[in-house]
Amino acid sequence: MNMRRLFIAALGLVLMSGPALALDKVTLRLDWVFGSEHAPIFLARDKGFFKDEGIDVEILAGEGSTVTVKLVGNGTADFGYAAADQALMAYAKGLPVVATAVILQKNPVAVIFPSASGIKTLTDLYGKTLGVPTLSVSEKQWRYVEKLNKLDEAKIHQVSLGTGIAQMIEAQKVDAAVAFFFNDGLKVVSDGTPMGWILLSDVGLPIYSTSLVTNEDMIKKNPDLVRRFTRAFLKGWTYALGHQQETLDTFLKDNPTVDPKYSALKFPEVLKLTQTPDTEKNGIGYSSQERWEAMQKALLDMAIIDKGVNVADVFSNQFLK
Amino acid sequence: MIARHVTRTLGQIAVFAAFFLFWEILVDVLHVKPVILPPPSLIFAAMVKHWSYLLANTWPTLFAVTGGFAVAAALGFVIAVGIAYSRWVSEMTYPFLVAAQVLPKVALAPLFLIWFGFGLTPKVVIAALIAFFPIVINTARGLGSVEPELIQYMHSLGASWREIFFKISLPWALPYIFASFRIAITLAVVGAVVGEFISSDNGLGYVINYANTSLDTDVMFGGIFALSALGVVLFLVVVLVERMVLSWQVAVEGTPETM
Repeated sequence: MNMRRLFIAALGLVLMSGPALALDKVTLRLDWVFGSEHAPIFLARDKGFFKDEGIDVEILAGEGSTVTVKLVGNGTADFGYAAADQALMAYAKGLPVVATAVILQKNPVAVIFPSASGIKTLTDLYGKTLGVPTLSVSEKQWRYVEKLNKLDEAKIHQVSLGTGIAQMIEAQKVDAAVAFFFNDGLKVVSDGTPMGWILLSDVGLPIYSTSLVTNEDMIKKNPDLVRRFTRAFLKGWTYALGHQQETLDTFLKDNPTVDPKYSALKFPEVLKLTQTPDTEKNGIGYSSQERWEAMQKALLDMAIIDKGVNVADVFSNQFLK
Repeated sequence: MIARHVTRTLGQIAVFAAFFLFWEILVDVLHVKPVILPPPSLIFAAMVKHWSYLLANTWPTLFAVTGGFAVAAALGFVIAVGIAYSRWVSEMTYPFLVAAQVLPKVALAPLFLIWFGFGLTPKVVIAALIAFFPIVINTARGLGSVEPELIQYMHSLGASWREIFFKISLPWALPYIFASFRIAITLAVVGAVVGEFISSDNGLGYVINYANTSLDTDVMFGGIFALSALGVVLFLVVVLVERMVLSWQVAVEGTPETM
C-alpha cells in the first residue's frame, strides 16, 4: 500500500472510533449521604442506563438540598438531586435552578413518635415534648402546619433539636419530633422501637420533595443532554419500582458500609412517595403547575420567600419522555 | 502619645476597609451571585435591617461564651495547680488531656444534648471543653517556671506554702495565665457556636445556621460578622483586664512585666 492509502485508512479509523468514545461526562450531586433512597440512581448507573444515553455520570454525596441547589445554580454541579422547595427558593434568590423531574411527590417531613405513645392526631401532642429542628426550614413548615390546623402552640412543650434526633427519641428525651420520617424515624425502628408518623403533607403542607434539578443555562445550551440524562435517571426509578430487591442489592453492593437493615426498611417507603394519581396518569417525575403554585403560596405564607416567581420557569415536564 | 494611638487605630480600620473593598470589587468582577457570596455592602445593609434580631441573639451567645470561659478558667486553674505541684498528677493526666483536646467535640455534641438537656448548659460545657486546654498548659507552665532557688530561699525564711503560692508563684505565673486567657476566650466563642450549631433556637450560631438553610446568605454573613465583632470585643476585655492586673502588680510588687 502506498502512503496516501495508508493515511486515508488511518483517518477513516480515527473518525469512526470518535463518536463511540465521546461520552458526556457529568456530575450528579445528591441531597445527602448515600442511602437506600438513592438506590434507583445507583441502579441506573450500574445497569448502564446512563451509558446507553451516552452519559458517564459521577454520583457525588451531598450535604443537604440547600448546598446542592447552590452548587447546581452556580454551575459547579451539572445535575442535582434536591428538594423542590429548595429549588424554588433558590430561583427566587437568583439561582437559575430548574427541576426536570419531581421524584418524591410528597415532602417526607413528619411528626414521628414511638407507636407506644398512642399519638394518633396532632392534638395528641398536647402535654408532650416535641423536638423541632430549629436550624432548618422544616421548622417553618411545622409552624405553618400548626397554623393550618389551628394548634395551640402553648400546649406542646417544644424544644430545639439539630442532629441526633433518633438518639433523643431513643433516650426518651422527647416524646415526638419533627423529622424526615424515612431517615430519623426508620432509624429508630431499625434500632428496635416501632414508630408511627404523621406526614406534614397529609395535614395540609403541599410541598414537592426531592427532584432532579439542573441549571437553566444547561437547558438552554444543551437541551438534548438534559433530556437524555432525565430519561436515564427516570428509567432507573421505573426499573426499581418493578425490581425492588435487585435494586436494593445493587445499592448495598455499591455501599457496603451502610446498615442493610435500615436500608431495607427505608427503601419501600421512599418508593411509595414517588406514586400519586398524577404520576400514575402522566408518568414518574411529573409535576403540575397547580401544585407548584400551591407550594409557592405556602412558601410565601411561611415567609420563606418574600417575592414570588413564575413557577413555570422553575420546573419542566418536557424532559420526561 | 494620643497621636500614636489615633494613627494606629486608623491604620487598623484601614486594613479592614481595604479587605472589604477588595471583597466588594472581587464579587462584582467575578460576577458571583449574591446568594452564593454577597458583597459587604449587601451584608452591612442586612445587618442594619435586622439589627435588633442580631442583637437579641448576641446575648445568648455572650452568656454561653462567658459561662464556658469561666468554667474553663476555674477547672483549668485547679488542674494546672495539680500538674505544677505533683509530678504524679502531671504524668498521669497529661496524655489524657492531650487526647481529650484533639477529640472533635462536634462528634460528641449529640451526646451532650442527651446528658445535659437543651438550652444554655450544653453550650457552656462544649465551650468550656474547647477553651480549657490552653489554660491548663500555660498556667501549669507559669507556676512551674518560678526559679526553684527562689522558693527554697523563701522556705528558709520561714514562709508557708500558702504565702509562697500567693506572693511568689501566682504573680509570677500571671503573664502566662493571661496569655492563655487570650487564646481561651476565642476558643470559647468557637465552642459556644458549635453548641448552637448542634441544637439551639437562639444565639448567633443559630442565626448563621438558620439563615444558611433559608438561603439568606446576606443575613448569614451578618451573623458571622456579628460573631467576629463579639469575639474581638471579648478579646479586648481580656487584654484590658490583663493590663490592669499586671500594672497593679508592677506598682505593688515591682516584678517586671513580661509582655
